[in-house]
Amino acid sequence: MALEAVRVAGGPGWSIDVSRDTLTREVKRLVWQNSSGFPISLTIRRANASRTFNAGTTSGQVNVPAGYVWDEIAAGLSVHLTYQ
Amino acid sequence: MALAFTAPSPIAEVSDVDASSYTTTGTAGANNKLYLITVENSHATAPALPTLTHSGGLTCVEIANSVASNRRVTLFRALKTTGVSAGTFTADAAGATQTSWSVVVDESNTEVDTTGTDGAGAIVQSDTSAGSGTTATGNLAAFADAVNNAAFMATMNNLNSPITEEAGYTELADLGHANPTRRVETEYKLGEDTSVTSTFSSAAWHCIAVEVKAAAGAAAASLLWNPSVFPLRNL
Repeated sequence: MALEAVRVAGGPGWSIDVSRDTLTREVKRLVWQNSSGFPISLTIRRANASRTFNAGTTSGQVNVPAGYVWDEIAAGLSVHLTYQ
Repeated sequence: MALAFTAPSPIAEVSDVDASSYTTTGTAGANNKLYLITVENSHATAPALPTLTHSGGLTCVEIANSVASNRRVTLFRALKTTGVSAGTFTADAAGATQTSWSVVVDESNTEVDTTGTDGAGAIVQSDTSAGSGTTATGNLAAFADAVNNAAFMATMNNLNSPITEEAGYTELADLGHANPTRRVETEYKLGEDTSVTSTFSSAAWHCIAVEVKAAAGAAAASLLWNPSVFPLRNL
């Protein structure tokens, strides 16, 4: 299984990648870099399901349960920052 | 007076001409107003993260961007209390030719928080979301001020057909282009909304929602006692 990192969102001091299977496009991990100083919350969605993760460190990754396909059709991702 | 945005957007322009930058024809810029600028750019692969400059003294700071294989939407903020005059905005991809550009400039009134640098104090939170379907949803947390702050959202999809604002919102811009097909829409509403939406024919979508902070003392609605109209009486 080969994985590729796909940049999906970013801002000053932070970026979010999905690491997905190159063939099935199923998301295996969410990967973040965050030196913004602000907390980030990540929510990945698919039909009738979602999972939320806190990206509380400057860099890291979290495994995503099976079934989240990132192909611009099936999955969705929200990235939330609070500045104040 | 309450926080509000100018409707329609002072600048809303699109171009599907291949170019490494785009400068608006329209101008905007004034002191003590928040500018939220939505920039869309496309490229067959890896669309550039653009910079944005203003010829009238504003410094544009990225809030967030959402990117897919061939398109990107970026929301910038800008605000200064002095030295601003009306000017053009230039989105720039540092020499990398993009296949399309959209620039939408939204302008608040002066009832916005002016603290911080370049509008930093005016943005309480942001949500950057992407998905596919007929509804884009920006997911915000409970507002710092549920009455006086405002919800603002920029939506971009890869289908050039109208985008409809959520009920109760004021749509500020809704425009698109072909080759490639893209659409950009902006909307705002005074008061808390933790689930900001826009709707359209099914498409892949991106949205960036923010909570905009009102100036201290800004009032969504005010009841002022006017003694000439309602004189005090001894009952």
